[in-house]
Amino acid sequence: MRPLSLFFRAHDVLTDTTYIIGVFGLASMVIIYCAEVVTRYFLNSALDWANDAFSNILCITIFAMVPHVTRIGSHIEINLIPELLPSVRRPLATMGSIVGAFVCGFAAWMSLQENVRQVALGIQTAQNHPLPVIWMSGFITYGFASSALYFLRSLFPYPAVLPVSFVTQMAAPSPSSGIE
Amino acid sequence: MADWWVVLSSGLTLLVALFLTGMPIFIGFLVIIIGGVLFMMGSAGFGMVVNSMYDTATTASLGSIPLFILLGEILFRSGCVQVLMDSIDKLVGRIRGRQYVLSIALATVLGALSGSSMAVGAMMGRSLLPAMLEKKYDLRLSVGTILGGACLAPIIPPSILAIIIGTLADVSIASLLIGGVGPGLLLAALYVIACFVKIRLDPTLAPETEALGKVSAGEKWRAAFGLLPFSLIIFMVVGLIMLGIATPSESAATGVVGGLLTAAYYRKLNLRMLYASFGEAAALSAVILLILVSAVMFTQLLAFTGAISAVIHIVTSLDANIWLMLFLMMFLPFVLCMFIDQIGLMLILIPIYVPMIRVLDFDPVWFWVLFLINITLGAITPPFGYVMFALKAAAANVSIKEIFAASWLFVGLTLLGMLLIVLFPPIVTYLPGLLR
Repeated sequence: MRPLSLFFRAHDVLTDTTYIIGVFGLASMVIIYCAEVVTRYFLNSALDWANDAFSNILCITIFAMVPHVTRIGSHIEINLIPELLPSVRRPLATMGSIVGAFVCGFAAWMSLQENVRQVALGIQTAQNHPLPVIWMSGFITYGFASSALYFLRSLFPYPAVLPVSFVTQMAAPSPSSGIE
Repeated sequence: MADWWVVLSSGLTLLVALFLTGMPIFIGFLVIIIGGVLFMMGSAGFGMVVNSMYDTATTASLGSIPLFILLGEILFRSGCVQVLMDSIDKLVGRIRGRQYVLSIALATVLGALSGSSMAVGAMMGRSLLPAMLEKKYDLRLSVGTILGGACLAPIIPPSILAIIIGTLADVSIASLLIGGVGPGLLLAALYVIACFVKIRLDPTLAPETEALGKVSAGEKWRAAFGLLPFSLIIFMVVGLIMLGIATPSESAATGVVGGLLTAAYYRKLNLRMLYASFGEAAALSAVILLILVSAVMFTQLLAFTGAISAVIHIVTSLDANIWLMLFLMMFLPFVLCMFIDQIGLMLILIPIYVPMIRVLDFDPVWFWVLFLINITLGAITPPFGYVMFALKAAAANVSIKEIFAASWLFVGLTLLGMLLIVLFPPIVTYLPGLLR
């Protein structure tokens, strides 16, 4: 396997890994808040770490999942012009990928600068049980950086570059989901 | 720095233009945010952008979004919803036009279990619509009841849109969620009444006698008993908030447990379904929350430009009739929602409306529930209502022209419902008032 192809597979495996982290993150959010309700109302002793842990896991879950969402191309878009003018659909999609790669890359760079500062100053969360902020904010950098790479990869439709997944079906969410 | 109105109008124009190109909404926001920060603060503002994102992503109240989505995923993927449909079908009596009543009743209950109008529209289009057409019910009215019914899902709690509005407008999410109960039931009642009136005026819209097997009293009891697990979920979501036992996020978590227990009760719980549900809910939540993370920063940037305080100044000095202002504030999203995605529009309008409703002294819960209904209405308003497209995808033999034509009656009824809410605010404010 060529080095570049190997790199892309490693990128996909990393995305699969953080996808699993996101799944477990969501499961732990359910468990934490149910435990909080039960202990608060039945045992009369609130968990002083529940809210903090829930918030931290929420951040990790979101940004651990972002690369997978970019990989399957299921970000919410308004396809008014591409629907009305099929001839410009392809150029607009290319432009979207270029802008997406640039903007996500730039956001990852901004976040990385902040991560470096947080580590250097030893910044911790303002919570009952403080934790290093980098544990959560590192996922923001990862989410944007990995998404930038997927946007970039979408510009090159070669078999070695096309994204794959070993733990999910590569399809956008079904209409049974959706928020609207 | 340039005048606030130049910054605001050019920023908003560019944002809408970026949205219309079909690029992801969060990318559109990030382009404006990065450009705006560079323009106003230079690179010194980058840390602020990242910290704003971190703050939003660690806001516990937003955790209810993935949890409510997960609840809907579990119920739809496990097939529990089919049990619900069968039970309600048995409970709706032998009345003329019963399928219309069934359609609306089912949509109302589904709305109380899932916040997604697309899910409800697609599912009913697949399962209920063919049965209605086979039984010679009127196509247009059948499609209309499904469209109208689907519209109730984001209004009746759990509602993801209500959580987004509450977060951006800084209004109690619990009040917004509970405030949707009254309007949801009112709209359902209006839809049913309209169907009966239409049947009365034109009896051909519903078959005189529907071939319906005899449903014994025992079967009806069994059907009612079959609804109990779903009532438990509704209690675990709405009931626990009303009783002050759980916050909206906590009630979402207990609702998920209720969904899991329901699936287990009907022997539909398995690891494959759970993995798919958790994965899809987490992915979809990432899509929504990433947009929200960007939109909050956009709101902060708007405040930084001085646009928000300028809007307050203008509204204060206008001295216009508040009802005229309310009409304009509702008319704008109603028209724009015909062409622009509801979420994108909502995220642009909320930061502009927040200072205005403070000046106009509207009850925030009442106003934002009205806004929520208005935004939701965009889903069934031609030509770009996504529930109509979901229904079209689910019922391929029905033309989009028929679906468009079917929607107008229910758009009108929803507008009538909004008018009633304006005239009688307690329809929204009574239940949240009990929370305080």
